[in-house]
Amino acid sequence: MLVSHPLGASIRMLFSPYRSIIVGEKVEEIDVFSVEIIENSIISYKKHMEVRNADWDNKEDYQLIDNELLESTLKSLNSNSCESCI
Amino acid sequence: MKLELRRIHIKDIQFGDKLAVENGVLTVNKEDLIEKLKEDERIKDIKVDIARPGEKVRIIPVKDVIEPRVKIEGAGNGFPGASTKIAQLGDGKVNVLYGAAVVTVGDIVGFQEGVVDMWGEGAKWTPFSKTYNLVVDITPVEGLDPHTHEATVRLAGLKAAEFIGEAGRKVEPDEVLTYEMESNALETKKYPDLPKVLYVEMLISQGLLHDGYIYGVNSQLILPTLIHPNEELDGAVISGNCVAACDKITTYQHQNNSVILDLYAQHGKTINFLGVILTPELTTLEGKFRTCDYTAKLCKTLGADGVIVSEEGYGNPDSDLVMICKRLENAGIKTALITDECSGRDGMSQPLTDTASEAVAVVSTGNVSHVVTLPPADKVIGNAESIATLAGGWDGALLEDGTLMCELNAVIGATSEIGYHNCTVKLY
Repeated sequence: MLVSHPLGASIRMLFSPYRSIIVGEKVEEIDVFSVEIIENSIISYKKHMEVRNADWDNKEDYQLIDNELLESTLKSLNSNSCESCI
Repeated sequence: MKLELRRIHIKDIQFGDKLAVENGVLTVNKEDLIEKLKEDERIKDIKVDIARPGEKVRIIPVKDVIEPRVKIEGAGNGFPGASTKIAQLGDGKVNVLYGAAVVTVGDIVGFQEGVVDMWGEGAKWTPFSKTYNLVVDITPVEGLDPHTHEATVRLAGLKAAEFIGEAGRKVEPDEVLTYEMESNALETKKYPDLPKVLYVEMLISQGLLHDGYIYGVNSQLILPTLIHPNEELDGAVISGNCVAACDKITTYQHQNNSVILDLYAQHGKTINFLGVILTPELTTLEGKFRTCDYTAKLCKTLGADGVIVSEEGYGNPDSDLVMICKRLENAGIKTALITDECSGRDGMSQPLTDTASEAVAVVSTGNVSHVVTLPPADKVIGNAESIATLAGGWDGALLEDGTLMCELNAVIGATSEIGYHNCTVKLY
């Protein structure tokens, strides 16, 4: 089960060599919605990266943003979520 | 609420001894502006420059664009909650330096995009090639953490727009636009037979360089909220998002939101415009479900017959767009979506990451993957090294003579998903 969305919020973030995704621990049954999002995200990523290269020149900045977005996501999970939702 | 936007037509910007508007020429005292902005001790250096339509000038990397204004009657000058004391916006009179813009440049991360070309091919694609731009390049003191750096640059732009806006305080406007709408109950009494329409404006709300603000509140922290359209036109919504150059909604575009203006134009004629719902685009699926359910619930509660939804960004926000659409259409509310497309160089691929059979009315604001060729500029304002980054991320090219081939993605406002831009649609 997906907790955070695999894609960023802009096409520029697809150039990022890093993307942290949070997934759930308690897998009891397949979450169809998550599967659909994962598949769509993979198709979308592949489509874009056919004509692009990951931007390693700015890897430290991408690390920073990936970390900031991850922290922001974790913070919202801590303040908003019940344990069983994750 | 009744808001007057009193436009003073600006035909040029010059540097001079004082801050003034005379015969449509805005004069700015550069030193005074720099001194004002440097009151913020987090700022080490400010450079101010002017870019006029037609000049062979490239501005990069643009962080935000803001329309300079001054409120001469009613509460809340500037951007209450963000740069000035909190106040209820939406009522009163605002003098607008129409045709001028404050453009902020600030290198927060190395890969940031955002080109504004003032001439030629590049100018065709950005709405901010037509404005007289006062470009403010902000260098903060060393050692600031990234959030403080971003906030410093954001605030400096708003402060600069307020400072410049003062020039219009005593100037008679060339045109006055009035936006007036009373409570939903009264408007519905006036127009009982017109369909009730809401506008859902989605805002990227995900973290550093990915946030929009409402009265200074990070939209990441809110449930979807209803505001009067006048509040947004009066400066309640600002941008802190600067990664998605082509489809980020700049503060200027919030101040002049085309969807709001178009719905206003139809209010009382073909529709009854109920208001604006601001909806955050979050990163967690749980958050997305919560905001999409809540948005649909607000639309139902307010009795909307139709809803226009505009997206900000591309990627995970596509899920929110489609989820909101499904919920509304399934509740019997006619829904039209406004989004840009990432449909490949040839425009033939699937434009969004998510799809739904319920999405039957979709307006495209352009293909972000369309490749444009931008000739070299005579002058670059900002950081010329950023130009190489634009070409570096793909197999595109920075040619020897300085010609740059890049995707529309890199051009500020090129595919604005609220329609404040130059692309249009032709029917065949």
